[in-house]
Amino acid sequence: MYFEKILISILQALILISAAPLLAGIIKKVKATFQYRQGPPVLQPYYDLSKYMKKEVVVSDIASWLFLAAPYVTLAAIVICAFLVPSVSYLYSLSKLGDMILIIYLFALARFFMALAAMDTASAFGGMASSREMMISSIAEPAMILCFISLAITYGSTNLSNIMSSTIKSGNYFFAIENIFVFFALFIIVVAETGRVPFDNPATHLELTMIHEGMILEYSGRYLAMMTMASYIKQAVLFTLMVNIFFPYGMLTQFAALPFVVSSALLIFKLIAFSVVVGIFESVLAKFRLFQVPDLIGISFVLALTGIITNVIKI
Amino acid sequence: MAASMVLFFFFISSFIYVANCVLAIVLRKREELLIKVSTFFNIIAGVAGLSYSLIVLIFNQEIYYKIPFAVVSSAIGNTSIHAMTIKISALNCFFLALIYLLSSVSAFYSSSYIRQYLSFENHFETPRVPLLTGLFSLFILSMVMVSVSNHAIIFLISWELMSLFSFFLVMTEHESPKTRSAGFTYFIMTHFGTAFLFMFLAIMFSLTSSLDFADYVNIGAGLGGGFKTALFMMLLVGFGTKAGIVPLHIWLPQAHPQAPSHVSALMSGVMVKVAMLMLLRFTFEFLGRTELICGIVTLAIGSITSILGIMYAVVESDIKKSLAYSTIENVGIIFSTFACALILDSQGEKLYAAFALTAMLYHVLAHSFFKTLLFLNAGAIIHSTHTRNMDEMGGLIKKMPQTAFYFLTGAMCMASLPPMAAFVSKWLVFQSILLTLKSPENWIKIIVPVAGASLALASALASFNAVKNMYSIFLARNRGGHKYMHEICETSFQMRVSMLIVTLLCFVFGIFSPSLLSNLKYAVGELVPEIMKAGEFFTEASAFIIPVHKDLASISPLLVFSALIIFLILLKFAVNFLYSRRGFRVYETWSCGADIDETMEYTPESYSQPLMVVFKNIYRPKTDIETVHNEDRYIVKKVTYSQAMTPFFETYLYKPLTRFVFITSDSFKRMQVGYIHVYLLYIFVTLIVLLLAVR
Repeated sequence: MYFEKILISILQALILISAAPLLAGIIKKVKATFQYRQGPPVLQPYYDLSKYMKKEVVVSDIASWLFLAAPYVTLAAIVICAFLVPSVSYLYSLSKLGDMILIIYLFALARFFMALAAMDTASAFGGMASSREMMISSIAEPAMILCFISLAITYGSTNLSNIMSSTIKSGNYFFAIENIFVFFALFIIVVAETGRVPFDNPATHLELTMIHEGMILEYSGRYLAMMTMASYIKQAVLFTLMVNIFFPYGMLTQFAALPFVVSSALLIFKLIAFSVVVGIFESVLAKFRLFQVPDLIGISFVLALTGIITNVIKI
Repeated sequence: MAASMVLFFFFISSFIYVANCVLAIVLRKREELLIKVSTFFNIIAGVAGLSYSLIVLIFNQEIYYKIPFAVVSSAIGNTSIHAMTIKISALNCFFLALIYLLSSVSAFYSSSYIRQYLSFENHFETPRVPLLTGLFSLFILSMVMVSVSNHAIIFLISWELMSLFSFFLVMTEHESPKTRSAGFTYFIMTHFGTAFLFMFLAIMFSLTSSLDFADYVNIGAGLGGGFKTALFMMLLVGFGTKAGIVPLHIWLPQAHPQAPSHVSALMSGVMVKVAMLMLLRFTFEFLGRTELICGIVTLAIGSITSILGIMYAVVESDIKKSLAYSTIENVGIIFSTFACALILDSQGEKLYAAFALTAMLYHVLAHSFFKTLLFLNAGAIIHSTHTRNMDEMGGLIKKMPQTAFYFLTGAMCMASLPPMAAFVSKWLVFQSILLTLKSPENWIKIIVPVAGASLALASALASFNAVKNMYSIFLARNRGGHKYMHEICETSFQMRVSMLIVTLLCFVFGIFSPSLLSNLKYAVGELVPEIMKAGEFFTEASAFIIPVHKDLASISPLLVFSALIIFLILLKFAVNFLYSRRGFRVYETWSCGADIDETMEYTPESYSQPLMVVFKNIYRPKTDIETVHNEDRYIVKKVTYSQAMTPFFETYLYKPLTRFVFITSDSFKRMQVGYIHVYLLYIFVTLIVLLLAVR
C-alpha cells in the first residue's frame, strides 16, 4: 500500500505540475477569443518558461541574498503543496501528511518570500505591489479559513482526501447543497489568490495596477522562470482544490494503469473546463479599484458564513 | 530520591539568583567583572533549573515543599499559615523550563548588551550595571516563585515582587520622560489587576478559611453558577491585565519597549506566560467546570485582542512597540484557545478540552521562543543603529547578515509559517477551534467559526507585519542617512550566539513537534485528569500530529518540512548545475530611467497605508495635508502630509476615566477647608453615623 501510495502520489503531482502552464495558456486563449483576437498559442507559457531559463540573469545591485533565495523557497513551498493535494486519486495520496491548513500556510510561506524579495531591490513598484498583495491576502485569508471551516463541518475533517471521498461515499450525485455558498465563496478566493481580474490583472505591466507582476518585476532569467512556474503551479493547485472538492467524480480508487490514465485525463479535462470558466469570468468583468477589493472579499466572507449557518441549521 | 534531587536543584538555582543580587552590591565598583560573574551564575542557575524542570515535566512528578514561616503565622494568627507550600509539578515545570531557558539565553545576551550601560562610558548619577544585573536575577527568581507558589501569601508576595522588579527594570532609563510615563502606566495597571486577584483570594479565604491552595482545589464544584462566573471574571481581569488583553493592554506597548531589550524579551516572552499559567491553574484546579458564558466571553476577548493587537502592530514604526503589540496579538490567540478549552470543558468534552489546552501550551512555547528572539534581535539592531524608528533603518542585511537571518526566522514565526514552531501551534489552535464545533449547542457553531476567521485575519495581518518589519529594517537601502551608518557592523559574539540558540529552538520545535508534543501529556493531564485515564491522547513518538481522531486531520511536520528543505536544496543544486553557465549580471534597479534613491522606497508607514484605508473605522486616521503655495498661487512650493491614528482605548476609555477621577477628587477637595474644627466636625458626624449603623 505504501509503495502504491507513493508512486501514484508522485505521478499525480507530476501531472499537476506539468499541466500547470497549460491552464494559464488556456485562460489566455479564452480571453483572446472573447476579445476577437487570435491570441498566443495555448502552449505559449511552456515556450516562455524555457526561454526564461536560457536567458541571462540580471540582478539589482541593491538586492541581497534574500532576493536570490526567494525563488527557490517560493517554488519549493508550492511544489510541496502540489504533492499534498489529491489530484488524480484521493485514495492514493499523501494528504495524510498535511491538510488544508498546511496548504494555506505553505502558500503564505511562498507569498512571504515573494513579498520580501519584491521590496529588496528598493524599487517603489516592488513596494507598492508587495504592500497590496499582502493587504489583499490579509483579507482573503479569513474568508478562506471560513470556507474550509464550513467544509470541515460538513465533512467532519480538514483532511483533503477525506473531504473528497465523502461526496462519493455518501452516494450523492451532487455535492452537499449547503456547500453551494462555500463553492461561490471559495471561487472568489481562488480568483483573488491567483491574482486574476477583478483583483489583479496578470496581463498588465501598467505600473499603477500591477500586483503580482509588480512583485516579480525585478526578476529575470531562471529566477523569473521559477517565480512564474510557482504562480502557475499555485493556480493549478487551487483549481484542483475547487474541482476535486466539489466535483470529485472519476477519481482513481484502484491501483491499475488504465484507470489511472482515465482519471488523469478526467482531471485534466476538469481543470481545463474550470480554466475556461475562469477565463470567461475574467473576460466579462473589469478590474476593480483596489479599495473595492475588500468589498468583494467581504461577499465571499458572508457567503462562507451563510454556508456555515446552513450547515448548522441542517444538523 | 528524585523528589529531593529536584528540590535540591530548585533551591540551588534560587539561591544562586539571590547570591547574584548580593554580588551586585559587593562588586558594584567593578562593573566589568560583575557582568562576567553574574552572567556565569545566571546561566548556572538557569541550567540547574532547566534540568530539574525537564525531569519533572517528562517523568511527571508532583512535589510539595513546606516553607516554615513562624513570623508570618504569628502576625496573622492563623494556624493554617504555619507552613507555606510550594508545588513543583509537570504543568509548573513546563513554564519553569521556559523561564529558566529563556532567562539564561537573555543573561548570556546581556553580558554583551549591558556594556552600553557601563559607568565609565556614561554619566549616570547612580551606577546602572549593578542595578541591572541584581534586579534581573531577582526578576527571574520572582517569576519562578510565582510559578511554584501553592499558597496565597507566597503567590501574592511574589506576584507583587514580579511586578515591582519588572517595573524597576522598565525604569532603567528613567531620565527620559517617556520611560517615566510608561512606568507610571505600568505601575497603575498592574496594581489594578492585582486588586482583582486580592479580591479573588480574599473570597477564597472566606470560603475555606485557609490560605493554602491545596484547600481551594475543586472548590468551584460547590458554588453557584453565577458566583463562579463572577469569580472567573475576576481572574480574567486580574491575570488578563498582566497578559495584556484588550482593553487592559495599554501599559504593555508602553512598558515592554522601554526596558532594556533583554528585559523586554523576558517580559514579553515569559512574564506574560506566567500570568497564563496562574490563570490556568486557578481556573481549572479551583473553579473546575465553568459556565458556558465564561468560555464565550473569553473567546470574544481573545479574538478582539488578537485582531486589535496586530492591527496596531502593523501601523507602528517603532520596532519594539510593534513587537509589543504583536505580543498582545499572541496573547489574544492564547486566550482564544484557552476559551475553546473552557467551552469544551463546560460541555463535558474532556478529551477535546485537553487537546485545546495542549494547543494553548504549544502556542505559549512557540510565542516565548520567537518573541524572545525578536526582542533580542531588536536590541542588537537598536544597539547598532541608535534608533528605534524603523523609518530610519533599511539595508542592514548587508551589514548584519547573521542578525538578519535570525530576524527572518523570528519574522517567519511571527507570521506562523512552516516549518516553524509557531506554525505547528497555529495549526493546533485551528484544530481546537474545529473541535469546539463538536459541542452540541447550535449557536456555538456559528460563533466559533467567526472566532476562527478572526484568528485567520490576525495571522494574515501578522504576516503583513512580519514582512513590513523585516523589509523596513533589513532590506533595500538605508533610509536613515544618519551618522552611525558607517559604524554599523555585525553584533557581538554573545548576542549572536544567544539569538542562534533561540533560532534553532524555533526550527526544532517546528520540525520535531510530534514527539515533543507528547511530552506535554502530564502537564495537560494535571488540568484535565480525565485524559490520563482515557489513555490515548497523542500517539507517542509518531511522525504525525493527530487531533484526537485520525479522521479529523493529521499532519506530519517532520516529513513535510524535511521534504521542503530537501527539495529546496535539490532545486538549488539542479538549477546551479544546469544553468550556472548562463550569464549573471549585476545592474541597477529599473526605475523608468530615473535615478533611484532611498526617498523613493516604501517606508513602514506607506507599506501599511492600504490597511489604514481598508480598516479606517478601526484606525480612525487623522490626515493633515498642508500645501504651501508660491506667491502666484499656482505653483506648489511644499506639501506636508501627516497622518496619525487615533489610539482608540486611550482616547475613548482611559481619557474619560482619568478625567472622571480628577473631577471627583476635585469635588472632594472642597471638603478640605483647612480648619481643624471642621475636621473635628467630620469625625463627630462619622462617629454618630457609625454608632447609628452599628446599633
